[in-house]
Amino acid sequence: MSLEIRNLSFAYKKDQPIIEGISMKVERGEIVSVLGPNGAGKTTLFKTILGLYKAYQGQVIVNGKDVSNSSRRELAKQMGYVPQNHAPSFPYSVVDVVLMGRTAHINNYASPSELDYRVAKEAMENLNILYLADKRYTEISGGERQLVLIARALAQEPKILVMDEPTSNLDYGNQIRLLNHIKRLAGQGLSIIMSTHHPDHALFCGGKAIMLKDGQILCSGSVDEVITEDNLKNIYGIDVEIANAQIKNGKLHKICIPVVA
Amino acid sequence: MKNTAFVAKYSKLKIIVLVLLPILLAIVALTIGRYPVSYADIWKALTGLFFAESNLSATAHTVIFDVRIPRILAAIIIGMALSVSGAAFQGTFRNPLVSPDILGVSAGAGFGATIAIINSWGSLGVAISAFVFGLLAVWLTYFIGNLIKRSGDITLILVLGGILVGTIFSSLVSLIKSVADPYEKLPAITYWMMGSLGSIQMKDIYMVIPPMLVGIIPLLLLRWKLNLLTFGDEEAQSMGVNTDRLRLIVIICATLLTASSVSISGMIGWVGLVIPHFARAITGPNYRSLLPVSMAVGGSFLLVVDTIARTLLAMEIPLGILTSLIGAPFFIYLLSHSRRSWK
Repeated sequence: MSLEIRNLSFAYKKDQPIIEGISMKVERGEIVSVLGPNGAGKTTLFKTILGLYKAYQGQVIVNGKDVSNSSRRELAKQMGYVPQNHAPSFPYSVVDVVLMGRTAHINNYASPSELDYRVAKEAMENLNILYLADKRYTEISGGERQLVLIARALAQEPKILVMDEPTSNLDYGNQIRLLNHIKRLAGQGLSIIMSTHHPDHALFCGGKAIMLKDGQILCSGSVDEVITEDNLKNIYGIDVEIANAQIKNGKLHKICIPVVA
Repeated sequence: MKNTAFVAKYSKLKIIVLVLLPILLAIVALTIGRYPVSYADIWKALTGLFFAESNLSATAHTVIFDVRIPRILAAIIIGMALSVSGAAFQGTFRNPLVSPDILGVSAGAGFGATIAIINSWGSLGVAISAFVFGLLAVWLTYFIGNLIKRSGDITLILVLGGILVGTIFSSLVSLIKSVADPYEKLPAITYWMMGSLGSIQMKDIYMVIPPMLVGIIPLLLLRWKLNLLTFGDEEAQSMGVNTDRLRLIVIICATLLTASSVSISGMIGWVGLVIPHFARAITGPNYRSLLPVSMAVGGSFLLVVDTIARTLLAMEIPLGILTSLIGAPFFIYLLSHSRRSWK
């Protein structure tokens, strides 16, 4: 399994691209963190990769195959999308929401089968949220809702998970728990592309990172190559120091500290 | 570990109750009215269908078969159609406040019927004209939507388009009324716009059943997928749904249901808005059960209201007026008392 993006561009109006010339490669089980200031084009990039926006240039290649002519159903079996937290219109039960992830595997005129229930249950077990099954999706906390959306994407059984700021709106504990889930899922062989506003989260997850500025890739590579003082200064316009902190077990951890002038 | 949610939940009792409810109400409604019909008469009428010998009086026979049965069937069918149509529209537009009027369907159909009445095209003419203009209204709404699609979300634009189209058609109806013959045509138009099942005949029912089946069967088959539309186009697409196609099918089917209802009954408001809410309070928002429950509840509701409409006063109360008078306060009650049906 591999995902390759070649020279991808998207624009609402010609000559005014929102993202331009984006290329990257994601291998099986790899995490790619996408960083960039507000309006840099992170969400647009994700939606173009997912085929929700039509690229006006470039290709998205999954397993060596250009997906621009794939049906929604085929695409959904390859890529799962975890959108930013949203408010749903109707109070579905959590298990119903997770089951909706099975759509690509369910015949056009059918309803979920026993198999679909089983896969949905496994997805929820994987994230330790089985206890939420009977609750109403509208009445659970933001952190729980984020996990439900991930479970829904897992029920889709994709090879690639695209997550738009999965840690936004979560408290500190839930952020770290979520990042641990992400690392574990990558360990299970899922490729993950996620956007984040926290350089520390990218460092925590490891793998690759990409910095976006004004719709273009500023730099890409391993997190250690990308998350540098110069690069952070360049995209956010603030002074940052990367420090090595030694934690109790003796290991060194890179952390990002803003410098107050 | 609690495991109930993972078995496909079907309470057999619930299904039996929902299927029997409209049937039982229909039998009771048969006995109610100016001319007394007893349960024994109904039994005689029923057996008379299968055995030639029946000592049912000719008057009772006429009342049962030519007056009450067509009317009861019409109330149930139209109640079902308007409710399913409303539930489907609410899902597609991700808005629990939407009803079949939203795309200008009712106003368009009303205009079509008005033209037919003024030209004395007869009842079939009224039905066909209402239907054609109902579909034309949706097409116009879509056309306007495409004109201004450039920015913003499609839902808001379609709702705006529906309001525009609705306003145009109701203005045209007013225009026709102002020039209509005040002794014959004007009362007919006015009465028709109020909605009534008073003049329903069996041939009207035979006429609307085919388009209603064409509208309702795809919706029932696609009802599970309807859930995904409530999460918005992008999320639904990312889960593998061709949202443009699904939405188009749903809108066409729901319009067909509303237009066919309007074509034989006139304007009956509020059913399409209130019943889906009530059904959601009973069974939750999942369309897998919401659509069948809406059908059963909607059919039963309109039958009860129509029976009241024809028996409460010495004269008949227009059904559309009664559904509004009952529907509006009931809706407020639902909104304030049931968090289940409302976010």
